[in-house]
Order: sequence, then C-alpha cells, then structure tokens
Amino acid sequence: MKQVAISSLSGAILFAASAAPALAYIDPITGSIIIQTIVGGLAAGAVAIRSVREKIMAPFKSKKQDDAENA
Amino acid sequence: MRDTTAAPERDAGSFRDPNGYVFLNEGRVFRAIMPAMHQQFATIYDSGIISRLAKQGFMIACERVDADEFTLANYTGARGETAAALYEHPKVPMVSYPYEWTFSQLKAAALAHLDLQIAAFEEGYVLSDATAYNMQFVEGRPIHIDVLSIQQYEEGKPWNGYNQFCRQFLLPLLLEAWGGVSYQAMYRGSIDGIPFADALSILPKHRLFSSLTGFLHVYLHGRSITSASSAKFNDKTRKAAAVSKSNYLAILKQLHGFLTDLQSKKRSETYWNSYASKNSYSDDMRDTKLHFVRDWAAQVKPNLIWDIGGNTGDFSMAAIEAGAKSSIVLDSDLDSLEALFNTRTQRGAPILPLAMNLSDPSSDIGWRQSERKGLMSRANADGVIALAVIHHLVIGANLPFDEVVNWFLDLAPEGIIEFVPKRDPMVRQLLEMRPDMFPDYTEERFRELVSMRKKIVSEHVFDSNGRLLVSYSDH
Repeated sequence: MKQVAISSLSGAILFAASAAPALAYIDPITGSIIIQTIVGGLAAGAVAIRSVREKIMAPFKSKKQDDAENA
Repeated sequence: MRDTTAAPERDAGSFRDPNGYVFLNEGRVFRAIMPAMHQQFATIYDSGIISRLAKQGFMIACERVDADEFTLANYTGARGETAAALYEHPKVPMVSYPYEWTFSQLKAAALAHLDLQIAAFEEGYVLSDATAYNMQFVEGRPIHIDVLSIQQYEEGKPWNGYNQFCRQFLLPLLLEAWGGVSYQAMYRGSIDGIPFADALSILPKHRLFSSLTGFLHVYLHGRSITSASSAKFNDKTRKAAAVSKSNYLAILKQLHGFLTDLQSKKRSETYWNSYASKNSYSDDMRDTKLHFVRDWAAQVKPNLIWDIGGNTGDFSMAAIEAGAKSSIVLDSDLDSLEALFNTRTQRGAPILPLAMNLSDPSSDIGWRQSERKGLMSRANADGVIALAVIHHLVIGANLPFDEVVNWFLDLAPEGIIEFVPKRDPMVRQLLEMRPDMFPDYTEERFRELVSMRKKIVSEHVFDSNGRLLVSYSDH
C-alpha cells in the first residue's frame, strides 16, 4: 500500500511538472482514463489513512457521545 | 401484456445508448431492449442485482414484461430493428435536471450515485457512465433511473464514468463550495457539465493544492485532459492504464468521504430567506392565507401542486397537510430552496424544490432541442398556487400583466392566485425607483382576466391595502 502511494505520488509530481497543453485532438475521456493509475493509488492511500484515523478516534468519539448523553 | 393501439412515444432524451430506449405508452414507462443487448441484459436482470439495488433505494424498480411478438413490433430501435424484450419502470413523477437543483440536492444525488456504484461494485458490477441526468428525485430521494448502465466489472478496467462524474457532480459542487459561485446558470448552458478548463480558472488555486481532491480530481485530472494526446494512447499505455480492483473502489470511497463533508460556502442571509419576517403582512394575515390554502387543498385534493415562487414551501406544506399529495416549489432563491430541501424534503415531505427563474424558466435544450425538456413541456400539475408573486413578475420583472395571469391559469385546471395591489407597501417599494408604466395592473383587470378563462370559486380580501386571494377552477 505504502509503495503504491509513493509511486503514485512521484507519478503525480512528475505528471504535474511535465504536463503542458498539447494541441493534438484528444477525446477528453482518454486523459481521464490514463490519470486513474495515479489517482487510484493516491485515493487508496487517502482511504487507508482515513480508516486508520477513524479507528484511532473511535474510542474518543464514543466517549464524547457517552459524555454528551450523560450531560 | 395488454395490446394497445396507441403508438408508444419514445422519450426524446433516451437515445445515447442504441441498445435500448425508454417509451411512454398510455402513461406507463417501458424500456425496450434491442437484440444486440438482449442476452447480456437478461443475464444481469436474472442475477437479481437490479432488484437488490432497487430494494436498497439506489436504482429504479424494473420488471420484465411478458410481451408477445405483436407488442414487441411496436417498439423499434434506431436501425428499425424490433425490440427483443420489454421492461417496465414506475413513472418518475417530475423529471428534473441538475441545473435545477440546489447545492444540497446535487450533493445528495452525487452521494447516491457513489452509494449505488459502491454497492454494485461489491457485487462485481459497474456503471457504464456517470451522468447526473440519470439521477431523479422520487419521494425526495435521488435514485438512478437507467438500468442499462449496469455492466459486469472486468478486472483492471478503469472507471469509465470518472470524467462525467467530475464534470457533472464534483466541479459544480466545488464551484459553490470553494468558489462561492452558483453553478446553475453555467450548468444550464453547458449540458455535459462544467468544463475542466473553466473550473481550473475559477476555483481558488490554494484549494487545488491544499486538498487531495482538489489536486487529484480537479488539477491533475484537468491537466491530463488538456495535455494527453491521442498519439500517446496505444496498446502499451492502455495496458499501463489498468486500475486495480482495490484502487477503483478507493477512488469511489475517497470521493464519497470528501463529498459527505463538503459544505456550501456560507452565504449571507438573503432578502428572501428572511422574507417571512420582513414582508408587509402580519401573523394574522399569514394565518388567513394558510387557512385559504388549506380549505382549497382539502376541497380540490390535488395530486401535484406547482407552487410558483414558493420560497421555503410553507404554503405547499399547508396544502399537503390539508389533502394535497405532493408539491413542486419553483423559486429562484437558492437559499430558500436549500432551507426547504434540508428541513422538509430530506425529512420526508413530498415537496421537490427546483431552482427556476420564473421570468426565464428552463427551456428545451440539447440534441434537437428535445433532449432536456423545458419547464412548460413538463407541466403536469393539477393545482397551482401563486401567492404574492404576481407583482414581482409584472412590476419587478416588467412582464405583461395579462400574460402573467394567463401563464398561471395555463399551468393547471385549478389554483389560487394572490393579487398584491399597487398600494401595498411591497409594490410601492418596487415602484419607488421607476415610473409607473402599469396602468392596467388593477384588481378589476385581474378579476376580469381570471373570469375570462376560469370560474372564480372563492375570493377573500385580507388586508386594508386590498391584497386579494382568488381560487378558481375549470368547472
């Protein structure tokens, strides 16, 4: 997972640095397809981080809820 | 299936997929499947996925119709081929379009679309596209209406609808959330959704680089569209463009998480939002109006009301409590409609808010100007209420008095109109900065116009300035 995220991130940085408008006609969908290899890896990293964060925060959240209910 | 002599009427917006069409036949909605797609769709239908998604509230219900050859021959495809099978769907009470939805409505539709995709993906299915026009509000909830979009997932294949999802859901929502720009007018002028180039210019740069969604789905995605060239796309790159199953799902889930938290940029309190407290009538007068609407609704029991300039839907709600079945509130004030959607529609009230500039309502647009219907082509109300809106249209928007009244009368056989005379403080305010070019804007002319077309059932002058409520009927 970490490797995928790192390679996606470096891909994203390279892409962002090199992308320049091309004049050739292109079906807009083509770019959307190609970019998903990078987007997918980084989204997977983000989803993993979110789920870890939710797991860490879960006890505090339920404590907060308990406190609110008891208040 | 019952044979019918009436020719089925093909829905003008149903043409992009040559494998099937939606037809209306005597008020019922059928989807004809053409031979090329017949087996594939039958396999998907028989797997039960569609009915499972329908039960979860994500997809419109779909039933196979027992059709004979004679019936099928009535349904022909683009190349003249005879339909191979017929399926029936429940009718969507009012078709509406994303450029008529407020922020919360479009967000609800986006989340419902992702919910559907995630539920389908977990069972091994994907959607072939992600057009926002396939989402329709039924009983306050956005559901997907195109069962033909469901396809079997093939490992490694990227998300085909990614571009469409971003242009038709994500970018307009970001324009409002990050840019503070109402997207409706722009969306209406760009039927396929907001172009990336425009969004990249409008959205604040710091947002694009400080948020993962901004960076990935807007900046990188937008740049990939303008920079990739078709020459680069060959077998090698196609193989390299494979998206793993887990990454495909991650894109959907990441977008879902992001959109769940997305809020509209808080707008300042608008004039309309606090209209109820600023308007020129008292609580007593408001109660009188509520009574009048309730009495009318209890008597007429309309199936569907169009509430013209209905603001936060207070009078629609009163009508529904008294016996009306449902209502569509048409108003141009997005804040009021937001309040209505969040406080009433989301809590189960059968009221659909639609953003509509009444002096320039949605028109017929798209291919052959029949792909997306204008407001009048969708007129389906059996009752109309137009309360304290006439002066805004005639004096505020400078529309001919006779035409405005006749427009109200055309909308439904029965209704209520509130006439606000010139001596009312609200009208005086409208006239303050302009010459009075409205000599015919009188109570007498108003009664005359209504009486020429309808029978006045009851009327009530409810304040000293002469505000007048009139209910009318065809009978």
